[in-house]
Amino acid sequence: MKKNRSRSESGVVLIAVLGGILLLTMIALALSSSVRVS
Amino acid sequence: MPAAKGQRGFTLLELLVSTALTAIVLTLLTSGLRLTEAAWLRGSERVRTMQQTLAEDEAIQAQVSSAIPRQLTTQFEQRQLQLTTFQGNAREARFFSNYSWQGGRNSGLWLVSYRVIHESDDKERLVVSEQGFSSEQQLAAFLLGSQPSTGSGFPYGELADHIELFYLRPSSPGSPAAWVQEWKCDDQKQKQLPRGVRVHWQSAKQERDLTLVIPVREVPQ
Repeated sequence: MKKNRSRSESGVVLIAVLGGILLLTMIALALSSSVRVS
Repeated sequence: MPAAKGQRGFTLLELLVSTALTAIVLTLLTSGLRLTEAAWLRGSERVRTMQQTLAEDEAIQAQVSSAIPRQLTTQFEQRQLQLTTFQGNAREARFFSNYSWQGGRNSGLWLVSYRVIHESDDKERLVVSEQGFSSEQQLAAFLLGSQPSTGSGFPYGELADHIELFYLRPSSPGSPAAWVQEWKCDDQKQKQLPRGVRVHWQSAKQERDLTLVIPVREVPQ
């Protein structure tokens, strides 16, 4: 029988996904601002 | 086994953390969008300025290369003078052309003046002014400087600390070609147009030279 995820496990997944999005956003912003137009 | 009632969902702490993360991501995205928009506007403005500079450079090149070489005999201060249709010094060039900034090519004959004027804050600017040709007396008076350049003219090029004009004297036996700062229309030894005009902008930040070529054409006697 498939075991349901516990509350804390779902919350950790949510925070991990949002943290990943935050990390990717920061990387994208850092890359875009490092491109210097003379 | 399904979770019991009241046991589903996230804890308050998880919700607070995820809301904070979402807010940070949204803030970053918004500021990123603002930066992108500013860069886009800056780029568009730069392209527009470059296109305008290019169009003006083409117009000034067309006008200078359409300078008409002519000889005219005129009476000035009780003297009989033979004039060539080009007069220039470091601050102003006056010549006769069949290209107009207003009317384009073949829009009649024009008396054209490029002169350096003082603007505010010790800056200088080159101004192009042109007037229609009506008579040889008007042309002679214009070349000899007794008739001031009319109108405010069109500003050309950027502001600079110092702007100078040079004229290319072609080589002749015994003297190589050289850029000079004086071209006299009543010089009896030099009955021709210069081979080119060079505009030199000098600023603390940068220097720029624009060389305009005048094709070789025989001066009708």
